[in-house]
Amino acid sequence: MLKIDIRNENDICVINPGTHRLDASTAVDFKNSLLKVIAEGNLRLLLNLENVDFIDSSGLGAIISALRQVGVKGDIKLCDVAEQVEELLRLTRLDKVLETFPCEKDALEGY
Amino acid sequence: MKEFYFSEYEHRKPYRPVPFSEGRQFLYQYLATINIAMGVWYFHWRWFYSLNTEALWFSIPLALAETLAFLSTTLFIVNLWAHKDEAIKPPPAMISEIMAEKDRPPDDRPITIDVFLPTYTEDPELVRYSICDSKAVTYPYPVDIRIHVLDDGKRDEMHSIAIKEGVNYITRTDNRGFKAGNLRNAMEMTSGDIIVILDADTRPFPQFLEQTLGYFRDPDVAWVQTPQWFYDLPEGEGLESLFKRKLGSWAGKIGLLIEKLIGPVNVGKDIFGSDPRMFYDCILRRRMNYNASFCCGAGSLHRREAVQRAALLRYVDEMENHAHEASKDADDPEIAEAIRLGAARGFMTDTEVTPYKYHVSEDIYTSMLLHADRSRNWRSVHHAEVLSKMLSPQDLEAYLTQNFKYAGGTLDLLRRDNPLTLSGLNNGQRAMYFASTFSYFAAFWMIVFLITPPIFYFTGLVPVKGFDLDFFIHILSFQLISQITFMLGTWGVNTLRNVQYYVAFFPLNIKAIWTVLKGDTIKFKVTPKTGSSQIRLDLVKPQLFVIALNVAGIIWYLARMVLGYEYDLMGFIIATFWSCLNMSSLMVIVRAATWKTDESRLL
Repeated sequence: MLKIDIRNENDICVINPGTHRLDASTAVDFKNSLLKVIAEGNLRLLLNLENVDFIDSSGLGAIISALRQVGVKGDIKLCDVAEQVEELLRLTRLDKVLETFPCEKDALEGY
Repeated sequence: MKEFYFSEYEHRKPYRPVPFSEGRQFLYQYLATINIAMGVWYFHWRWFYSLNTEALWFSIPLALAETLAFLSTTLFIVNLWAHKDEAIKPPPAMISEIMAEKDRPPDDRPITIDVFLPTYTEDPELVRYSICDSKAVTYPYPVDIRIHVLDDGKRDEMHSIAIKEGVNYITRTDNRGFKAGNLRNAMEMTSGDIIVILDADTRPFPQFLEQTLGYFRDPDVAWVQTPQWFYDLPEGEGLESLFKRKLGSWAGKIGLLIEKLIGPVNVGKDIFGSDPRMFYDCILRRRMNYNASFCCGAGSLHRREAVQRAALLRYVDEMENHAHEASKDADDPEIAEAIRLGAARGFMTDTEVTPYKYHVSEDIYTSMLLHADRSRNWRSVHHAEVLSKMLSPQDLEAYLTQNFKYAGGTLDLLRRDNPLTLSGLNNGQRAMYFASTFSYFAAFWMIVFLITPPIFYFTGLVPVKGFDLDFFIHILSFQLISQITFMLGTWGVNTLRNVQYYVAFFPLNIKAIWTVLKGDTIKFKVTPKTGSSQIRLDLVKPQLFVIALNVAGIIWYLARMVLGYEYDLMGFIIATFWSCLNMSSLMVIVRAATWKTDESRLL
């Protein structure tokens, strides 16, 4: 089971996935963890990806599922995104709906 | 294990793919070029010199039908142009061997493979055969192979068989999306690097993975399709035995003599024309030449990343379309942008990412989308050798259902994403996806061909200026070269049934075109493989009508000749020749409708 780190900064839930890779082998666990956090009433999520150096389409699919769950009232943003992840977001054109910030501080200020 | 009708066919061995011959390919390309050049020459004559100006309402539709048929033939010629079989690569053991260097995980691990066996109403004992054969698949390295029975029927018996056989059992609370939904649900619950999709009755051979996983060494290979082979097709009856049974032993000897003269004859062989060999061994196999071979469902292997990527791309496409629709009337760019973003988020809240869409054209559509994905250079592989066996539809209705699904699903491509305009495809891929849809429009020209002889019988009009030497030179030489080119292009494969059903399927294809034009959805009906032993002439009414029209026309014209009215003997000979050819094709489907499926075959 994936161990994700959850902190609350003001009303924003900062999540640090406990893995270097969000791929098919971790996506299901990661998605379930996110859905649990959302079910507990956290609708404004910030994924701090400083430790993640690789995401594939399954991992991205997990984030999209979570985004669906928070609905229009909530949001999910990303920070500390690795180059590979940034490129994947751009190639899949999901960068238009998943806002990214260079670091957590900027993200919390700009949320 | 429970015995079924197919138990007696266990010994049957699949066909071997036609071996490649450079000489034959060169000869084919040579003749195909001449064929196309002669087509231009023929149609120039046809449109400018041969039309019967006295009856343009008759001669123009026929010339148009011929021209469209030639366009379809040209696409077929291009399809068959060259072989480009992919060399089989050694089977990989570790994940790093099938991923690009930059994507490899720091800690290498054995490849994981999920084998999906979706089932709904099939006899669990029948599915057991597929489970056992999947378990018997061998691999030279200790990779992780997980077999999953995806039971939408939620049956206790299926569950207990899965447990007894030691495979995973997956079910769900609803049946949303039928088979596609079933696969999707399983995908969300598994994480294998490679997904093998089988049908409930697909039985892989032991070498299934060994022969195919190597292709994934190329990180751009998205999927591998293997041919579907029906091992239970009726083999037909030899002339000797048939004549003996019907007429007595003296006739049997005549049958034997005929077979000695012309080679073995199997009456009733593959009566439903369901043998897909021509499709796999000729059409799909040679689409490798354009990186345009598409996925056909059962018997295929998929890179999970490619399936997920296709789902994401489609999701974003739909989201952008939705956002564009919502914001197109806003004048202020800032307001438009705000609406776009809001609409996109609204869409995301309402819609899931769906790896398998609930649509009959799912396989071909996803294939096209991946080929068009500009962010990756996805490749598809068609493996020519048969690596699994499955059961064929057991009666005409089942076969018609299956083909209606194919026709409607493929035609629907034009409505969703026209391959001619979809960006990201190369020209070869464009032509091949278009060819797949265009071939179903054959119904239109087929109808014209089928009713041309009756129009002649009843009106005395001919669609050409006259049956002079010029006419025969043009039509005979063009027909001859076309037939020889077709024969060489499909060398080694019996295409008789394909040609017959190509003619006989016109009502089905028109119904499919009509359904798609109306904007109705093609229902994802489970192809019944259970069969029925009843005679079903109601299924072939249009074909019977055309046959009756031709027969009545011939009788009518003969009567006119006998009664001394003015007649055109050459016209009559030519018209009856075409009538007989057309009727022989239509009779096949009529025979299929009257075919009494053996009770033991009804599962």
